[in-house]
Amino acid sequence: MPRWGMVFDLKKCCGCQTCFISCKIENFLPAGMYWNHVYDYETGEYPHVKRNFLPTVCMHCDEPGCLEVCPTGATIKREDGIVYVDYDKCIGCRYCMMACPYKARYFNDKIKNYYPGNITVYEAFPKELRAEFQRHEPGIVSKCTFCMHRVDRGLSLNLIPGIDPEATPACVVNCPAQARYFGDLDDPESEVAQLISKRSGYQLQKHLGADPSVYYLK
Amino acid sequence: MKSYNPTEFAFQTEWVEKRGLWLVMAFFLGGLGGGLYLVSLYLNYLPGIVTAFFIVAVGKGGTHLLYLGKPLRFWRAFLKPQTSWISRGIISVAGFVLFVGLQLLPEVPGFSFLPWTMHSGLIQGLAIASAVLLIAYTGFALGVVNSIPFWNTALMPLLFIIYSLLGGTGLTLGLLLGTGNTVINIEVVEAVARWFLLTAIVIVGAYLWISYHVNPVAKYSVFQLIKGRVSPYFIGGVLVLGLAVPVTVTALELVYNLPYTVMLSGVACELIGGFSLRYTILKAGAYTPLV
Repeated sequence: MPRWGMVFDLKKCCGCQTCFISCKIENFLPAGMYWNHVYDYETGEYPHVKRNFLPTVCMHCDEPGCLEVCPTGATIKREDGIVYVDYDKCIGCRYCMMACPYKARYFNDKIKNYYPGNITVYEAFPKELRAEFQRHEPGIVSKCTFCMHRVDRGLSLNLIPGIDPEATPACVVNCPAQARYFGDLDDPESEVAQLISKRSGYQLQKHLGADPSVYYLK
Repeated sequence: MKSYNPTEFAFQTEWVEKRGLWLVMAFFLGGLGGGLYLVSLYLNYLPGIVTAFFIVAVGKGGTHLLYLGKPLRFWRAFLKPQTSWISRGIISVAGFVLFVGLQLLPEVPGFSFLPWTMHSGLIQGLAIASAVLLIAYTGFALGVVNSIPFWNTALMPLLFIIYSLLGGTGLTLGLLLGTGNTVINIEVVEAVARWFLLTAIVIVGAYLWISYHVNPVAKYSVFQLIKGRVSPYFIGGVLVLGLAVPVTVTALELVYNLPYTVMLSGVACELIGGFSLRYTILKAGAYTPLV
């Protein structure tokens, strides 16, 4: 069984936010909801200032704190390492948000339209045609799913996630700088495993012991 | 886009702002009700037990439901006590309402035919166990969250237990004074309250001291309590109203026979302190910066 993971090359990320937008489009995220961030921040002091970008998604940890604390079993970890929320089971207690050190979860108090009074074609897309986790509703917590609908559909068509675009998360496919990689962390021959090995990929907040499936390259 | 700098500390907001205030209230009322029950049971003070039942059943249960995003699905929270402290907490609330309710039922006119009494061993044992879990679970729920270092300490359950018992003792005293009790020795309750107050001072001090020295994020949270944006609530609510005023009142009571109104004011201050403690601890909880 693979363990899906993502690698962000910080040297390549130019902070264009294409991943952010493509995630919103792919997953029908309503206004005010973000599963994909590129934080833009400065380090150093004038005249030695550096502008940095830090892309983040749900880290799909191997030992997810959110899974343990969820009182209803709404947070589920699949055998391939993808962690997702079953919207029908979530009660909106937000304990998972406390337990997530990456602030990767979002509570939808109410679903907002992008343009008050108008519903775009994108927002009007029928819910029954969307994947389950794309049917957003108020009062529950949601998060990045590594586009598991694309991964699953791709695998059913004998495609390889991380190589075939149709089987790869939208943010990875659409990144114009090719700063994102997706693949099987447990396969030493995969591109992600090779990058982590050769370029000393590291995890955020490793000391917390969650063992995230997202790695960063300096 | 969120304006968040991943090199800086970020506070949790979901459990304290907007609807999160209902959760703060739920944590407070749960502790208060559980503490009141245990103290009242020890004193065999029926009005206290009845009050505790309603505080938990209506106050704690109601505010917790108001907080949830999907309140009608609350029953699902019973399903994962093996790992989740929120699940254990809701089981303690349900257990408390059920067993204290059963305990009280024979005291209700028309139900004296029931084959058990208020002090029947099994029901009382289960009610006590539920109450203990109820006053402890909040501290454990926060204590196990390792993403927020200020909460992630073994002192957290102890702090919440002591504040629950302190609040329970204070409210018992308030009920005794307010209802003109002549059966229970109020001096005993005052003495217990004094010990709980002293214990609370020691534990709050130890909690701040250890948090200040253990981790830079926790230190930042302590800084928020002492000098930062939470300090008016912590210094005013927890330290002055919650500890200094009740200590002064109970100390004066040792020497002078204070009027009931002064004693009741001390109790009110103590309860404000209990609420402020929960509020400020939740408000000061900060995540470790991502980079």
